[in-house]
Amino acid sequence: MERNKDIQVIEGYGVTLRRLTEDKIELVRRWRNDPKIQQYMSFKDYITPEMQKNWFKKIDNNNNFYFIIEYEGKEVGLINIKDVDYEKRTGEPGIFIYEDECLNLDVGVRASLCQNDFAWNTLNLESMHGHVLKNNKRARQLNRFFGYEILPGQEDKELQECTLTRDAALKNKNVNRIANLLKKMENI
Amino acid sequence: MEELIAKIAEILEEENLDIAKKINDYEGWDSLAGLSIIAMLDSDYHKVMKTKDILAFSSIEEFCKSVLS
Repeated sequence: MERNKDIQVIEGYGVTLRRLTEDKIELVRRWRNDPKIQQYMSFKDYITPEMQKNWFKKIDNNNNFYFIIEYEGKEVGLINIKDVDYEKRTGEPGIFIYEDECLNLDVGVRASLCQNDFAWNTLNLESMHGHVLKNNKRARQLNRFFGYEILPGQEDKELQECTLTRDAALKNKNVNRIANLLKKMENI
Repeated sequence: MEELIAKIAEILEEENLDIAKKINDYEGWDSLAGLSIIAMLDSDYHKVMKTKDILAFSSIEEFCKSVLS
């Protein structure tokens, strides 16, 4: 699985995902400390440059894959699969779109389609397990679209756990239809 | 045009659409609604349009005219 470490760029569905490098962690820190992003994170403390450097040291490895999302040549957000367990074949997905003009577009869906392909085809995961705040309507809608299911007993919790299996994802007709459509549009 | 307006209304979950408004003036608009419209245009009208293109129209009426032209 060491080959995964070499993956620096994922392109597809009209977006480019570029592996997070140290020279970009200040940009991510600025995004992450913005209240519009921070409000939807479970960790809400202000992140200092030192904290950010330490965080990057922990995630710059073969078990964590963080990518800057580029849309039409502009850096617009961050997407990740973290805590990849190659034995259990699981990982935890995450995404945020920073640029306001992209929130009404489908950049999040495009990036998530790349993330799914990466999870199932490259990392060969069997499932992804995520967390989402109950008040994060946009993320919950996106999760529903992709077929994530809230775990039983989590419905009333502030931080809810959700899961998506490889089998369910690959059989999701709505997602496959949109994926094919976006691929088709890429070639026009 | 009425059929197309009805389909947009269904996706936006709006009973009465004011076609003078922009599509994203409605609360039901989000990126997933945009994708539903893109899919509908492809399957029912054989038109390919990006979300960005849809949002560029000054009104739902202008958008519909373009789709049906």
